[in-house]
Amino acid sequence: MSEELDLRAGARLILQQLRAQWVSLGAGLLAGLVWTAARLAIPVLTGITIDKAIGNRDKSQLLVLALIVVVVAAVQGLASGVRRYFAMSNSYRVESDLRADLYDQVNQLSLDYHDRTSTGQLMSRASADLHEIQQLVVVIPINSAFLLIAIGAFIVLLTIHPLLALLAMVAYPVITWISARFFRNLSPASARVQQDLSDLSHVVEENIAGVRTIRSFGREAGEVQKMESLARRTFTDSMEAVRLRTIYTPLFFWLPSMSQLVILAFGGYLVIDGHITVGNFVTFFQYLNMLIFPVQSLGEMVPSGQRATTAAARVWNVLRRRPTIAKSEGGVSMPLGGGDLRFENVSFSYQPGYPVLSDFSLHVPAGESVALVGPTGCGKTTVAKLLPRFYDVDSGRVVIDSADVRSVELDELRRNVGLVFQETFLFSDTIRNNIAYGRVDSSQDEIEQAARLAQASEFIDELPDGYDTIVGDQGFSLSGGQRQRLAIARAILIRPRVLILDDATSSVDARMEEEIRTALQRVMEGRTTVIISHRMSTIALADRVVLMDEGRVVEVGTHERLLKECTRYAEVLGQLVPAS
Amino acid sequence: MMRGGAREAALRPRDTDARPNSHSLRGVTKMLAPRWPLLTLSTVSIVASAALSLARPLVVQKAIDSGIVDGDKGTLVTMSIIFFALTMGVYVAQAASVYTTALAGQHLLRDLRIRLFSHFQKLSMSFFDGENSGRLMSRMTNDMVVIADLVNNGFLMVVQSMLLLIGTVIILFSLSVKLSLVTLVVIPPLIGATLVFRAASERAYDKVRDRIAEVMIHMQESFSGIRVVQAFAREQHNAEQFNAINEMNYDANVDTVKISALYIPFVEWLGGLGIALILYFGGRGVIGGDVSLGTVAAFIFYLDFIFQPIQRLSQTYDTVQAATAALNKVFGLLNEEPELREDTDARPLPQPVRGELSFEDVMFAYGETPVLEDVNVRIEPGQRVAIVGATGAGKSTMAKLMMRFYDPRHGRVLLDGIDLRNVRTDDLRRTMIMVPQEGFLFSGTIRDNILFGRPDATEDEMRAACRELGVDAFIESLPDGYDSVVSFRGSRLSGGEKQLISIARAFVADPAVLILDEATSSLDPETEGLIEAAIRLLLQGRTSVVIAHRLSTAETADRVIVMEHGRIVEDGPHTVLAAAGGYYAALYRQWRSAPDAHSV
Repeated sequence: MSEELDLRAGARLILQQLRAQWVSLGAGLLAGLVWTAARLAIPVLTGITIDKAIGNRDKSQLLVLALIVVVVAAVQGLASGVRRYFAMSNSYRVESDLRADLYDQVNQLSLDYHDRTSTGQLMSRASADLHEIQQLVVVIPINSAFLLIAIGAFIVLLTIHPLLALLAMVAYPVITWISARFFRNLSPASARVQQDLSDLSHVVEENIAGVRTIRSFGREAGEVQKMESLARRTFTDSMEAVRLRTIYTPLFFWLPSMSQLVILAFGGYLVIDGHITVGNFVTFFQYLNMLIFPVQSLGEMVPSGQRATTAAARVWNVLRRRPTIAKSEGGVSMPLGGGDLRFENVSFSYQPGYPVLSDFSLHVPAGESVALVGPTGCGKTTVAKLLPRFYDVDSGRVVIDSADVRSVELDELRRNVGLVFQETFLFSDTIRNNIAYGRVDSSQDEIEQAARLAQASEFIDELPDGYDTIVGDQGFSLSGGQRQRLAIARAILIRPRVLILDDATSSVDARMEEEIRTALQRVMEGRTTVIISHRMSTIALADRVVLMDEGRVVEVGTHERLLKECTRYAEVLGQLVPAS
Repeated sequence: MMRGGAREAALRPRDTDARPNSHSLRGVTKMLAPRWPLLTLSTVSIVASAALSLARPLVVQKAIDSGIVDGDKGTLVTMSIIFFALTMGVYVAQAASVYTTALAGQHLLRDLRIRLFSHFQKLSMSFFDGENSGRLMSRMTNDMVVIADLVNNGFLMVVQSMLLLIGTVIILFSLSVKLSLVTLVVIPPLIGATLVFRAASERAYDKVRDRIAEVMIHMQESFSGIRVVQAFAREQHNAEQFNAINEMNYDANVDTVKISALYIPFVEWLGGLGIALILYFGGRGVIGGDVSLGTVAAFIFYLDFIFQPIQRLSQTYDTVQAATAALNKVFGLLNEEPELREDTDARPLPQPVRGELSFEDVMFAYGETPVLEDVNVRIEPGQRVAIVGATGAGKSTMAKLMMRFYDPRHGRVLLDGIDLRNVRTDDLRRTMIMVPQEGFLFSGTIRDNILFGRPDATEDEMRAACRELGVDAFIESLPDGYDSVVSFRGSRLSGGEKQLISIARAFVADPAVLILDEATSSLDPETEGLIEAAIRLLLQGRTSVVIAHRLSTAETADRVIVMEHGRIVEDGPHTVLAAAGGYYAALYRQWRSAPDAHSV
């Protein structure tokens, strides 16, 4: 990914989230403190029990000390539960908050951003990246306690016997360092394996989707070869990760064992010579055992922190943007009107230097329908996109009912422009909610009426659950024509002043087109409509045709007249290509 | 603590069919058998690492009792040396066990992937339709990931934990039966609590799974439908909806936290209780003289060897269960016999192939209802045939039987007079090629895609073919020309351009018989003209069958076959049929009146 990442901003984002949760973070840290104290106390108590109670053969003191251990363990457990609760719920809070922010932001960002960004990228921001952040946040209170424990244990041991403590503990910072190294080296290796797995699944997906082509060309063996080399690569990369684990994981046990050896040999010697007690000796052993996991975890936190910071920087890259088309404060209400459209000397380009519309002017009186016709890339879809202000013009004005679209309150503007796209996008929800998408408070009557007008009510009534049938990716699959008619119902339910049909009939076959055309004819009556199409039968529905080329209007007139008089028009519609 | 991996594992759908069945057991055994030296080494190293680990506290105990307490430095030195030797031994054994088990496991995974994928290539086409294709996909991806989990961590952890647990109990009893019985009092509550925790957290994670899925689906749809969202000014409303779902997901997560925030403290307390019990009863034993101080210390050290394996086993339980279910499914699929098999006495096709295709009394059904019935037709070499009919009339099925994607239920399909079942698949594929409706592109360069059917064609041959077809201009206008990278998804090429490349692909492969499924969606007229011209060239000089969606195609064919409800209802040259006054004539009249609007 070539995305520029500001790691400081990423770190700032995480800190900001932590600050917002300071109460529960503090509670977690406090509980961690209690936990540390209790945890450290038990080995000391064990040592005392061995030296005092057992050494002095005092059975009643033995009972008292044992009971103290039980109570301290209870305190330790309780603190551990509290710490865990705050640490984890806090991390989920951060994850959920950031996710809500991201969601809101993505919805607000203008289409120029979405044109450049895939859904997959955004999803991975909202899932994988947030997960990295959550994984870091959750270990902060836990690892703080671990750090305290390590320091506390070291101090206790120092008071018992400084030299022995130093010798015994020297391995532990090394474990932290090795652990950091291990996880740092492991993450590119795992990333490679992840990449292999995603390549693998890509090949499988491709093989399933393209099975007809593969079998038709008899290329099965070639595909198996592709898979073989991928499976081998996965094997090699996985073994690289295995090699790292082979070298490092036994070290995590070997180093503490060497410390134990120091205590056994040197500590044992000190006991025999009376410098320390047997109880001290056991305390040392217990501390060393207790610290193995915490120091390892501290090391793990280093690369985890790096990953989370990178992830947060990626999240920040989405959050920091400002929508290019802002919901203007103080936008005015739309003046009354029937949808009179004016493009006044409009110029527009997606990229500077590549004008898509130049000096485009067009007037569509209220209630009239026009068809925009022209070769691919002539700017017809762009004209449609300027009306709901998906983009702003570079110069000139787009005016609906005498108001510049930029001066009108954005939501209101969009509620007055009904759009039917080339590809119908339905949400995984009921048909009712899909139709009412733009006006949630519509009554059942209104919804049914829109469906009737869009010629959709018949097939809806035949569906198993009628208007309650769930459609979309997760639901009942509809034909292209049915989906298209739902889109039309959705667009007219908001009672827009202007209806835009962007290539609404191109992706369906001719028979379905006929069904849709009937629907269109009815909804266009008396409504300002802009049709974009290269199907003659659809174009013929419009009152007037606007022939476009290279971002300008070439010719305006009725379909019949242009067909007769304008050779360029006939050419664009493919009528001059001689039949074979 | 619930680590990332465990959470992910918990978030995967659970499987009920988690007992290994005979297929998967036999399958895995067979695949692993040739690696027996590796597996032996692995077993030895696992057992050695457990045994050596367990021996260490015993040495410490000995050092305390005979060395430290008795003040015998010689014994202390001896024990230290033994401890050192054991430590080194554990290092070697652990490294060996990590490496060898993972190596064996990765071998298994690699071989399984290749075997399964090769098996895919032989499976009947019905496996690739609709819902089934999802099944294939998850066998090869999700299931393999789950098995890899087991191979990478799970298996070793389970075996080691069990060995440690058993070994520890044996050692404790051999040290002191009385103290063992007292200590092991904490085990039943530990196991009980673990079981209760497992059950409760399973339920809680089920809920998290549902909730996070809702969150993801909502986000996915809002993001990919962003144009609709913004066009209908739904941002505000959607944000409210999302917040509700997002909070529900948060609550579900916190529920899992609550459960573990109750369980973990209890386990920690049990650990403390264990120490207290050992201290009290062990202490009394030491005072009474029937237990040594070293034994008490050893018990305290061994306590970890009991607690950790039990918790670890509980964590890996999911991995083992999921992997077993995955193995069952994978081997279940491997045991599916491919439906279409080449006859053992399949003959090579006599060359040169003439390209005569015939159907004799063919009946075919995907399920119960017949899709084709009583189909008898003979297509002469070099003939250009258009099949016409309504959706569902059986046109595509005819094409699929010609390609032998399926075998007929009754009757025969013959190429040059030989039953397709007796023709070697390789020969058949080289002879007949089908160009599907949507130009399908594989990930790779445009060159790779065009040479797909004949990878050994030269660069000159390819370019000449593209020039002849008239597709070279558009390819060369791309920034990287023939080296432009395309993908079967998200390619920058338009539908029409993809079709052009797929036509070039068939042209380079140069089959004797060509089957073409005409595209239904309309393109801009310019591209459409290019495609029509290219198809005309492609069909020249070979037997061709076109599933026609436009009657303009039928007009130019040598022969039109009209289908209705799985039967051939009319058959003859266009001019004859159009004049005959039957079904076709009616269709044709309708089409003539509005050529742009009507098609079949």
